Amino acid sequence: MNSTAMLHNYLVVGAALLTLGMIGFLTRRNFIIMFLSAEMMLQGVAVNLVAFARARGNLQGQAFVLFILTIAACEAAIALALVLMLYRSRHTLDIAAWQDLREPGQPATTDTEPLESPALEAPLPRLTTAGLEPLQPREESHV
Amino acid sequence: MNMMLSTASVAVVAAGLVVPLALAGASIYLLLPRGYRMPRAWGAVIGMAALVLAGCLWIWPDGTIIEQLLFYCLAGISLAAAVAMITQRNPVHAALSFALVVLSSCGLFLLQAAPFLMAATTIVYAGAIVVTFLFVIMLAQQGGLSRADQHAQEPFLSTLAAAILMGAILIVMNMTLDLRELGRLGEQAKRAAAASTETELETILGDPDAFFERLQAESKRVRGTGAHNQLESEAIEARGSWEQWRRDHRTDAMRAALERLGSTATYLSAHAGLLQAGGSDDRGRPEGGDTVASLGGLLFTEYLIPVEVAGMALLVATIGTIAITARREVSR
Repeated sequence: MNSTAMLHNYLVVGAALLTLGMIGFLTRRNFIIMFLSAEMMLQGVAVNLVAFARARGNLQGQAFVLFILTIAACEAAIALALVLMLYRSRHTLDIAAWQDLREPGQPATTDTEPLESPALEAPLPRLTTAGLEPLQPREESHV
Repeated sequence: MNMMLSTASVAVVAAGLVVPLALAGASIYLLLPRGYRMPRAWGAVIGMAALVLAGCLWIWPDGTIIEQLLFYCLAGISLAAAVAMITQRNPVHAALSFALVVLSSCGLFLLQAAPFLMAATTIVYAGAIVVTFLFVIMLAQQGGLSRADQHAQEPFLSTLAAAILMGAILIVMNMTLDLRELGRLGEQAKRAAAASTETELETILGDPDAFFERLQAESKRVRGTGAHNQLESEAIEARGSWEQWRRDHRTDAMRAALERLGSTATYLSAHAGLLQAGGSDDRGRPEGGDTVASLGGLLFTEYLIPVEVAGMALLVATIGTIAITARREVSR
């Protein structure tokens, strides 16, 4: 039984999760999706550590994953608190709203691609007025 | 002839590395949101092809059938959900895809004999963190898609950088962990040492010069432990005793040398690339068992201080969160 083959397979999965999280963190402009991508990078590292724990035969990797989990929870709490504070300031989750924090000389990010246009609302139909309201028996409640 | 073979094999290896990376990069580039509503069929098809190719080329088959099947399913779902998460426009859909990533990688944890981690990660990540993110989305972005969700920044450069990173990681892992040839040669040496007659020994070894050449080349390639020096010296010694056996036909010394060589080679093929030789039982489970009790024992004895520090970090994070989001009322 060749244990380095199994180790290699799980390391490939961990590396893939890490790089996909990196792409998500770099490309998306929504705060929430950026933080989710960072959490996914941590998940990739966790897969790596558990694979190494299995290959080495002790539980040190698993203990470290527990600490990573704890720190990820702390980070998520503080990050979301900061996101809420930023939202209160500019009322958007777009990081492009904070572009004035960029380096001097760096061009601003502008949206050049057209957004999808909202579907035109069909005008409400004009109905003819109805006739007389039919007689309805008066409801007596016995509550 | 040797040079031509090596460049051809290098080209094959490079193609096996580059083609799935290129396909995956192309699919992510096509799937990232661009403003106007794009049909996602092309990106999805190319992504599926990249996933299947990566599963064929990058994953080495090992273990029982059910283990391989579970690994392929869980890893495939995990990577597909990860791509879905980074390319979805709606942040709620992205959060749910992230929950799926976490659940499938928890399945991978279970396959690696980590049941407590599976439960803890599911509860904390998919249970608490994803729900907290959904709460924030509900509070902050009630109007559905915003302007931010429909654009992606620098899709080509980030995809290229990520592909280069993944390629570098795969190359290093292949160089360190590709020990299947060494394992095969070690098995062959052990079988030759255990052969009953001399003719059987010769047939098992095949072409002995080529056998010893390949073994020495593999021993030069093995990294990560100091034992590769031992392997190289044992290979030279076995070759020397083979030459001597051809002269005086004394099998005992040669059998012993082959046996030593075989056991070192098979040991290294299972343990090289790791800084410290692990102790696991036959089925690959960690020593001390895979129960929660052993993990708890470890946490309370060897990692007591990190556990306390983690608890303090949680306390500090809680206080900090409340302090950050408290509305300060100016009292006059």
